[in-house]
Amino acid sequence: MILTKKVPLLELIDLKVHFPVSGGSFLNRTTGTVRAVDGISLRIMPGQTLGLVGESGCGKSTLGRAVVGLAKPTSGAVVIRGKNVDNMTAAEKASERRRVQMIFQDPYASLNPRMTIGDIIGEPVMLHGLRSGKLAVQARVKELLELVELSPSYADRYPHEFSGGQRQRVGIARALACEPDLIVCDEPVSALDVSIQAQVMRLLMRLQKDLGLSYLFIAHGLGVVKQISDEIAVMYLGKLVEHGGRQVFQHPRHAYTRALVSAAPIPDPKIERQRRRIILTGDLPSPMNPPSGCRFQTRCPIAIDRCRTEPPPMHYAANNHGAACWRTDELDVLMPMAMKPVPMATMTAMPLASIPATPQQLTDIG
Amino acid sequence: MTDPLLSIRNLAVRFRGERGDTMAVDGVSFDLHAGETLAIVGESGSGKSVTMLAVMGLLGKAGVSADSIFGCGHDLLKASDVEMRAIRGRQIGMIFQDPMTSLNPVLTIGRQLTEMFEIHLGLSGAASRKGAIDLLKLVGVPSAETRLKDYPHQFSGGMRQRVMIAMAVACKPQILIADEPTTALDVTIQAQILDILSGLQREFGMAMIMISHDLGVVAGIADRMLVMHSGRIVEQGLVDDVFAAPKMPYTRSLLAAVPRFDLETEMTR
Amino acid sequence: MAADLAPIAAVEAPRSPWRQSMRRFLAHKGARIGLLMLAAWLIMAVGAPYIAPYDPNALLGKARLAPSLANWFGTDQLGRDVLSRVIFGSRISLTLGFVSVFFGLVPGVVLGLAAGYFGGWTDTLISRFIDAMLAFPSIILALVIIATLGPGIVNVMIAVGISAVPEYARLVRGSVLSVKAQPYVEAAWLVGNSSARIMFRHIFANINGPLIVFTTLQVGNAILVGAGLSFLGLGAQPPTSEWGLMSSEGRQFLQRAWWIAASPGLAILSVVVAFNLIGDGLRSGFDPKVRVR
Repeated sequence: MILTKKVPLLELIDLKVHFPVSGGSFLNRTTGTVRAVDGISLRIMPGQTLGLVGESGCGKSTLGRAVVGLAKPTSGAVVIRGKNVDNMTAAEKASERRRVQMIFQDPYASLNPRMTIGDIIGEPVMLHGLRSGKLAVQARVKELLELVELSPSYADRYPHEFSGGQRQRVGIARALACEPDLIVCDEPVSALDVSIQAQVMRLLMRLQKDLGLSYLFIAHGLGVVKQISDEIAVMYLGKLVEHGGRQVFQHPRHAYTRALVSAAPIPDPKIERQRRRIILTGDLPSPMNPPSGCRFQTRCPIAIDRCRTEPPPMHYAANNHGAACWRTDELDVLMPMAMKPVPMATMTAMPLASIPATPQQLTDIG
Repeated sequence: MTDPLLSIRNLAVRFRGERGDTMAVDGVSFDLHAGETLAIVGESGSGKSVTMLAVMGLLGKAGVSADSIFGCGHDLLKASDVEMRAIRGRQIGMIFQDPMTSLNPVLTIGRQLTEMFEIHLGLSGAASRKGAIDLLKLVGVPSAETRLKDYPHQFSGGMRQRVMIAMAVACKPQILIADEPTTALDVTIQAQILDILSGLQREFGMAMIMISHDLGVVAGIADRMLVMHSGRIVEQGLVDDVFAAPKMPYTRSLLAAVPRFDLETEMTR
Repeated sequence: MAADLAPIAAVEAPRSPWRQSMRRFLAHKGARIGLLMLAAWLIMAVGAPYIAPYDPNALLGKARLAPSLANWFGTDQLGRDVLSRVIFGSRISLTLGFVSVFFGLVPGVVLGLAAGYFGGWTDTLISRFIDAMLAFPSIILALVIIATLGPGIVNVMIAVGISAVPEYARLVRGSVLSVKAQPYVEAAWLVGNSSARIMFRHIFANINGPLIVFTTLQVGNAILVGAGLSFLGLGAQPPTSEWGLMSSEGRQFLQRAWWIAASPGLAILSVVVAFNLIGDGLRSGFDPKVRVR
């Protein structure tokens, strides 16, 4: 009997994406390279969500774009369902592209202003022949609109008639129209108001459950990443510094993640008052000229000589929680987490499902 | 209870549009006391920024009406443009979200800082230059003397924001208004900036108004808060009280909508 | 579900961006005036034989008569009624304006699209070509082309048209580059559109605004340049009642019979102004942020 091993939906093997920076006016010589993604290995299994966190300049968006094919890898491999993208023919690439889709950050620039939302959503259905005949396509469009909680009667309307949150739903519907296996969500809620964010996050999570999708969820907000992810990875200056399950924010094993978690504000004044923040000094180094050894050493409060000379490898502990830090075992002593997690039972916040719909009604009643 | 530093009664701001007028601010009243930090919280379109722009006289007179606006001993509602200009910068400082558009890109940082001293405090030459260097050191800009010659685009986002803060507090104003000062910054830089703001507040004894949509930032830095929606104040009170026991459904839903990364929650799948 | 899901604009019927632009355009005061003027000229051009009081080539006897009730614009140096000549001249000028634009638009758009979309060597080659052409004022370019082709109205149309190609190409290339960077174009590729579909359905559809405005202004410009070439004797030949030619013929009479040159001059002015007003209106129609009264 042959045991079939579960094949990862997406695998990145030492992926590097470098951009040449050209200077000079006439000849356009290359004066430097931005090492946006500099050797990342990751894996996403079917039905799972990998959350990717990092601050600006860490390369997480570039990584997302490389996964869907918008950015060309300089070296390393992108393997989709066991097949290396480099080895695919043009036809294979085109059909695989359908199965890895993207949701963009800016809801105001990610929809063609001259197309109705029905056309926008129906285009992939038609292009890939997923339904035959105009009527079948239109019916599918209505299905998809309902799936993202928009009324099917909106199919004839144009993007400018909708709010940011609604446009983002249209973007989601467009991605779903391709019937993908994996959706790369590139900061999908960052441009939305807080209450709309919550609604869209809830939609994304419901869709994952109902359709068995995988997500690569890229964001800079720790809260939304934790909300939706099974695994969390932290990036800094093109490299992965930490990778593990949901406990990464609870008990970080890398100095940068500890600083990140301690800096992120928490909407609870009592907790905020007693937090001891780890304030990092200095600015982010340029991705054209990353520091030697560990990339974080220029800002790390506990860097030692070894950190400046030897880049630490990613080392996984028994619970599959890995960090690339020489001093990971000393962190509890040197950079203690200043707050204890509060177990769910004592939370007084309302569960997400009961978020009221119309703020208008709320301010009138109350 | 001493008199409030800033007192606003029934402020309303009306904007003319293609299809009729909108009330961006509709009957807002609140006080600010010396040394305290007041947060104005709301989502986009709530009117939180427009409120303070109107109080500062940055929207002009048209469309702005109120029963009274008193600040730092002046009647801000009736003040002329000249008077407002003197008050802005000298007694009320303001920092905005995007330092790149608030700093003049063709003037050096040094020039923009010394300008503050020259215009408002009448200092000149060596005195204003020293003042500028001291300010930059205060907000944590390294190599202050050499950086005076630099232009805004030569600074990183966090550094530019520090320069903006330096300009705003140059004349040791009584009130500092910060309009989403850290929204465009990374979390670790944001922590640095908020730290600087708290430190300056303590050092100069300033009152601060922090406009933000980020409840975490508000929880960390504010004493009192106003929650705004559609131009009105929905709820106000001490930060501890509002977070622990929000009275209005909108406030409750706003608080519930912020996902927490520090809690051991079960994934709702 | 949530009321957030209702569209923000409470409208009964879908309002396409095109219809919105047209509505704003028609609301523009200058545009309405321009449209009226253009309509007047079009009527005159089409109905010239019925509207003009006299035959434009008929010799009425008395030359250089001042404007009077019998001859509203007077008579020219050969005794022909100037008003009738101006009215008939509108046929030539308007035809020239509209036709020559196509000689510039089509090659210009193709070059601009190719340069903007494909980039690389295609872009470098086309851009350098455009830069070289733009080094010359368009009138000089037109002169060079006319010199090669020889005089005549048709050649003027070709020359004027082609001399506008570099400007069209540059405009289109710039618009394409800015649209190409938008996420919705990336999304279009991602969901499986072919290059051709992306170029036309996603990119070209969104650069219409500036292109239409530019074309409208080009019509006026073409009429001006065409008149200029005829003024220099390179376009219409006598006895055609073309405005530029009429101005040239009336030049030596400016002291004694100013109406011979002034009338066609005013006609040119009014047509060009009409197109400029329409262009302004279109610009504010397509880009509501531009407030032009």
